[in-house]
Amino acid sequence: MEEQACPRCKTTKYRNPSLKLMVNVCGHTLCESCVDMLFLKGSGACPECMVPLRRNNFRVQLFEDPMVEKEVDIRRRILRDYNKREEDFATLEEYNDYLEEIENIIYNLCNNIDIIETNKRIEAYKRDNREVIQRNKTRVGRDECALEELLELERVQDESRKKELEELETEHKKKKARDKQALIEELMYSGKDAATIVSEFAEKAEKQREEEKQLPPPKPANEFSTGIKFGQTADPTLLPVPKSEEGPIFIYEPYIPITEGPTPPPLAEVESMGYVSHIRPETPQENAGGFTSALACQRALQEAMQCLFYTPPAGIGVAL
Amino acid sequence: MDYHPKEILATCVFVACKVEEFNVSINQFVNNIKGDRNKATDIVLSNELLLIGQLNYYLTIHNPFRPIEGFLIDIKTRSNMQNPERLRPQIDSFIDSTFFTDACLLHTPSQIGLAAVLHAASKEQENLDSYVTDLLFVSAREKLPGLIDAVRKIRMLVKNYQQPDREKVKAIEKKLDKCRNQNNNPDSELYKERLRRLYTDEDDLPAEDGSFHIADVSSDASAMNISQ
Repeated sequence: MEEQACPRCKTTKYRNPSLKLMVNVCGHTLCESCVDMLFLKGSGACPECMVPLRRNNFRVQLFEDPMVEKEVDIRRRILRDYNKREEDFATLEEYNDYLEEIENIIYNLCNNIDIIETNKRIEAYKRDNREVIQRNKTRVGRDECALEELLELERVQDESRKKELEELETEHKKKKARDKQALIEELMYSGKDAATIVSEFAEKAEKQREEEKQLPPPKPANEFSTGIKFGQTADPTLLPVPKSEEGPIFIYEPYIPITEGPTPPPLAEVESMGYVSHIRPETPQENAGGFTSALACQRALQEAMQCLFYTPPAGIGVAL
Repeated sequence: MDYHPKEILATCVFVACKVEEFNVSINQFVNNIKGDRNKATDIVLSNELLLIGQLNYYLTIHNPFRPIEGFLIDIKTRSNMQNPERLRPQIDSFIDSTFFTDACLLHTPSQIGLAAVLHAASKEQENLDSYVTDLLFVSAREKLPGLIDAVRKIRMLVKNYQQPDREKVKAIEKKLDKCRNQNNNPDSELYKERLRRLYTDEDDLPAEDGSFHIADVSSDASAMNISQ
């Protein structure tokens, strides 16, 4: 990694750990103390490219590459004016063209290509679309709105939860104090044995604690922990799941094989009636592959029985 | 004639070994063939895919061997016949001779299998009629005449089979050699020439490849003219 350094006073991060690099619209960096010195009057020229700069446009450099910083800056400026949304266009293609134009402008400005021409284009665009720009500026984006709403909701929930917990705790404390008071009063005025009174109270407290434990949190859960409600479909950003056209309900019909012959014994009978004893048992290797002697036996029986009833249609056959 | 029956026959046996999971390598296989083994290897391997393709990749052949196993298991389990295994030699010879006849085209494999078992039983002075009537067809007596007829016909087919005359066979073989499609004859100059071109510049000959195996009427006609 290259050492970050101020190009003017050559101070590096190593020599001055508190070094803060600042960047302005031209994309050239200066350290904070140099900015203080050079822009005492509030405005001046960039020492590298002589572009007139204002002091309050200086910002702390976030990215290592000042060119990125410059692009971010330009992008922010351009998008302030080019703030049309997809809804403002008739077709997706037009919207895409518009997005491409924005990227072209940003690229040109970043790489100093046709600066004058590009600036003219921006001016022309601003003139032509003043109304739309103004309208869109005042209208906070729908996504942002939704996001803010969500955050607000979360905050409210958090607060209410906290409040609930606090109330529960104070209630608990109060109760404890009350119990204690009752115990002392009992001890003072009752004629019973002190030991039995103490044990009675201890028992009661124990019982109460048990009850508390058993009581489930009474709040019915109507939403996930992420704050999304069960079964909610009101989210406008998601398309509803398309309902498929359903045909008639599937009705299971048991499979009845047509064998054209006597019914072969089922697998259970193959084993129980002793059919299997007349063929060799499967080897462990065959068994590992899922083959059993009963299966092979059943297949041989099935093949023996099937199509025994078959008679060739009239006209086919040989004269004997 | 596009392919010589002898070549297809050898290929069929080779493919059948694979289908029945009786693994025989091509070298072992050609060891059983008389004549030039390298040539036989070439023929079998080049015809193998053609054969499977012509079968439409449907490799199940319903044969009477498994039904016979089924009947023997059933007889051992349900009837009181003594030592059914002694029927086997007769069964095997009967089945072998059914393949000289049209039986497998006219009757179902299980019928042929049952005919073989019954034939062997009668040769061994056993009677399995009670097994057929009282156990197999106990719930479908009305179907019995059809089966009896089928078994009778199969046995007649086998009985009436006669070995063809040797002289006649030789004459037919000679005839076959003459009417071969030289395009598919590995011995012919035409075939060698085509193969050579195929390997040297494949790109220029897209059409040639198609007529290599698949019978093509127009190329057949020209091939016949050249060979005559």
